Amino acid sequence: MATFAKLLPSRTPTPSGFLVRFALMAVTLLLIAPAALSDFRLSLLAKFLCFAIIAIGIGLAWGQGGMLVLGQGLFFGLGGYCMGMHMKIVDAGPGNLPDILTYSGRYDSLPALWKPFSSAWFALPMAILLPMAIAGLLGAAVFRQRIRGAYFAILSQALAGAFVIVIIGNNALTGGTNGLTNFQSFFGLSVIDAADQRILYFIVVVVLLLVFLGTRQLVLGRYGRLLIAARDDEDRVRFLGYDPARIKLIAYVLAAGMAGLAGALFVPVVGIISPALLGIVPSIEMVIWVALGGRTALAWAAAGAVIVNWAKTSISEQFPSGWLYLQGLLFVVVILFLPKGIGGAIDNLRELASGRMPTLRGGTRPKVPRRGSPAPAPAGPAGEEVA
Amino acid sequence: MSPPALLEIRNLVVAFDAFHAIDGLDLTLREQEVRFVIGPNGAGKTTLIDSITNLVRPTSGSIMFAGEELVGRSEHAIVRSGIGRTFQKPSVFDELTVVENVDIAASFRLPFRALLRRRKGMSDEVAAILGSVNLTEQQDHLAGSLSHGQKQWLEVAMVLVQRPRLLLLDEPVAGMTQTERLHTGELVTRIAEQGTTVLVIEHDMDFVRRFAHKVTVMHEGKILTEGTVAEVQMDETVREVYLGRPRDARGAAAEVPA
Repeated sequence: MATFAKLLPSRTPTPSGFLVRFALMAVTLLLIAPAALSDFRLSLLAKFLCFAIIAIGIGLAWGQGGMLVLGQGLFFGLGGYCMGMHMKIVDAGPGNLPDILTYSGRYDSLPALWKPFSSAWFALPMAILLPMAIAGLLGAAVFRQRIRGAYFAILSQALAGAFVIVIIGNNALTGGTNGLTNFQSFFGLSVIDAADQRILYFIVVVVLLLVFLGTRQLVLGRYGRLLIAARDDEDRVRFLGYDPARIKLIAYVLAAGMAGLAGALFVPVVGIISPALLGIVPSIEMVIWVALGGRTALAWAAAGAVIVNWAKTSISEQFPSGWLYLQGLLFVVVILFLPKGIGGAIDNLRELASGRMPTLRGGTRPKVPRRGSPAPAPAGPAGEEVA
Repeated sequence: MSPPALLEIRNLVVAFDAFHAIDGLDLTLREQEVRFVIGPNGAGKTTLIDSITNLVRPTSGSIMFAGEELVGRSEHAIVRSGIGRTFQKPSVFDELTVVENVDIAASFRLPFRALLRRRKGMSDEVAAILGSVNLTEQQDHLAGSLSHGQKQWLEVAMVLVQRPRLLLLDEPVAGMTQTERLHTGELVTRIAEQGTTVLVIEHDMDFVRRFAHKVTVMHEGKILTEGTVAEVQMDETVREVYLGRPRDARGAAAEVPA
């Protein structure tokens, strides 16, 4: 039992327990999955792992920092378009226009917006830095004004909506609703070839594991404690001599960078970036992954992205319209019964099994969980942000 | 010869629309002084602390701290200049452990790079502070599991570990048991002896009688009178202010200082 317990993340982490879990996860992703899955399934998994990178960012900003980031699609899209434009230019070859720009007949040479993306040295950093810069500008304005909760969520969502409108409105330049597609190659790899797709899968896994380790390090450091503190009592943080606006801004900007990075990987893996992937609805879905997985633990946030998308694909293959209903139902169930997602529910079961009372938010809890189920956590400060 | 002034408030006005919570207040605190501020509910005591720390913005007037103007500076800059405060409702970070609470308070002058690292053990200073507020045993408990009185002590510890020159305590013994009150009073006395200037807002007259040296009585946003406990108790206007009001919800809190 003790060794089995190590496999699940606990609220009082032990270094050895973490190493065991991390090693198991790395082995599963790097060795078992490539051996066990077909090319098609593996490429699907690569796509879900890109989503998991977004989810880690949401886990940081929302789970740890209490910022309900309802517009991550914007940053995902920026990263995707930066990479997509570069790949289109490379595919067209030197001197030729990418097909997408020829349809309107408006351009004879690369437009100014596209030109810098000819260089990988520009496109790659921009896929991460551009989302971070935009999040930085928005966050600096919003957090300094002490805009929180629903207002922040709506603002970030509106930005994702506006981005879609801009892309569709400039279809000669951006490919409009069709987006960028028909890619051939990614830094010398063919995006159609199955063997090269496997290499892409490994790249995604390594990036995901690195992002996870880095974010985990950040969360466990003093900065992570401060982020939780700023989430739960901004005034107390302020009157300890810190600027909570800056603390939150860092997490928000990093989450945007992760979404951008995910977008840049998504394009070669899936072969398309289009407005339908990054508008308001996809942005909300991103938050749902994290809510279902468990927003307070980064690993569960990432797992949520994979679990939800895996379920979505499997169920859609059987019942094409079934998924939407199930997703709605799942979301209701999570909010009502599992406010900390799957991860939180498993934590409760563990604590119940080890004889301790679940104290989800550290407060006083009824001594006996009602109806034999783990006591649902009362909406804490982070929960209120949802309401 | 009295020590130099640390805090000089001149002609302070805090207006919420037509209502003046603080109405032309002057107050001087000297180095190493322990000053108790009493007054009926609504006298503007908490607003006074709030305006020193810029939680509410003064409408007019000046607040000089160690020769520098505080009005117009941001909250965290004021704290960094050497002022610590607690809140009426104890505010600690429930989801962090006791030692984490004190640790992030103690780290407030660290460069950002250092904040990225993990806490390694506990500094002697943090350990000593936890001992002085009797929380050594609970150091690894979540702050949310502490009792009301312990949370108040934890908050005091978080502020103390920052070594402020001026400490503002808003009703530090509200809701505490008699022994907890005594302990808190002794702690405040000790803090002052170590060179910190302390301003305490308090309703509990018994506590004031026992631990106050100098008392300021506020009424309707102004200073009514200042003096030793005995002097204040003899003051006719103070008696009027307290007796002129019906006993309010706080009951004993609005007790006549007698």
